[in-house]
Amino acid sequence: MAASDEQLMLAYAGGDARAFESLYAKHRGPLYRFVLRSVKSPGEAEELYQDVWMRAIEARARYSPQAKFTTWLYTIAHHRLIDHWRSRGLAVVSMDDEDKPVAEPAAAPDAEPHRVIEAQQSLERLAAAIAALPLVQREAFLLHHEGELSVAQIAAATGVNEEAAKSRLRYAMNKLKAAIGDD
Amino acid sequence: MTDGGDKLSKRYRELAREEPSPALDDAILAASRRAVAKPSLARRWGVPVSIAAVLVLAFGLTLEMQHEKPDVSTAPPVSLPSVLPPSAAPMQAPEAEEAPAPKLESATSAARAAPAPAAVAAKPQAFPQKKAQPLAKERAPRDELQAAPAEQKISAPTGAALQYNAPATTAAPPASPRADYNVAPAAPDPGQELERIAQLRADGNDAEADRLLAQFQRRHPGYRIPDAMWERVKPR
Repeated sequence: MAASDEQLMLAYAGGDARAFESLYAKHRGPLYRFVLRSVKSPGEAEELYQDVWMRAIEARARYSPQAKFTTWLYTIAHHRLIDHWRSRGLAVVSMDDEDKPVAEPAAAPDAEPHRVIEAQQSLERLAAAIAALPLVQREAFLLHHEGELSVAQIAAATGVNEEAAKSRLRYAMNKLKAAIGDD
Repeated sequence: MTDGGDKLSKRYRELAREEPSPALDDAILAASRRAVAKPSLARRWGVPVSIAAVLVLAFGLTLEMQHEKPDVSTAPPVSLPSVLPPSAAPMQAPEAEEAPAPKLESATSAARAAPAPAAVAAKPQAFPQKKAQPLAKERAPRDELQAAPAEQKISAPTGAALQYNAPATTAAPPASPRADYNVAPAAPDPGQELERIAQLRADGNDAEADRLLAQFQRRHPGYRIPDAMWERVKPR
């Protein structure tokens, strides 16, 4: 029986480097895509991605398996992304503005999901729609689809209540479903 | 949430599956190994070896100091004098007591003979102190002062006093260091000193009695002389 992520992380905190390799192999792709699709620039994504793992390595002694490892890992990633956005003068959208991409630099007016749907009929439309989502909605969607986090875990990772997390995810999915013609 | 999102999820998984570069993987995995790498042998054993070295050094220095100053290690057992003298003194006492006692009897009058037993009883304490002189040189003058009157008194009548003193000094062979050590710390009994002074007073040797009394009071500033004894030793 394979060890769980939590057991592997505890083993790594105890000095087992191989445990970390197993964890890394399992989560490298989803975490990388989560970061990449959050910032869009591969260069920034690589820097942030490495930074997230470094923070996880440094915090290994403080890891407590009270929550899922993925929740803990993506919480670190969320905080790193918040720092990144703030360093670029971007504000995280508040709950009252769930449907307004006020702080999305890449979400130009002509890149709104419904306009993207009209322009494209392929997967690129979905990718563009994801890129056009407001920060918090895109984060909720990526946490759900890449990190496989539940609504409760998304709430825990992003520091909001479950209703807010559920709302963000619902908005994001509705927009993306509309983008691929599934609404 | 997921039922309506099945198609979306399926389409999402059809998107490009980007992954980090191998170089990035290597850098992160190397950092993870460094973080939990065990310290080198020198770093791991450095502190314990240092502590052990300090302990060994301290132990060696202590042993060296004890070898250089044996009295440092042998001085503390203060209880020995109080334990051993009962066995040591009686063995020497007969030598000192038996010889001079007749001399005192013969040399003094009947009136003076009364305090003689007390004076004789003081001898066993005085002689062991003389034996301790080699080890406690600072005590020598005092012991000689105490012994002087007795010697004068005893040697005056006859030359037999030489025989009396001889056993006390020559009959004490170089005892073992432990025996000498046991005798050395024995302090003169104030009662015996006063008795000696009283004897001098009784003998009419007031000058010597005054001198010893003053000496006694300097040595025992806090000692309260009993009234009866004071009547016998007080300056006349």
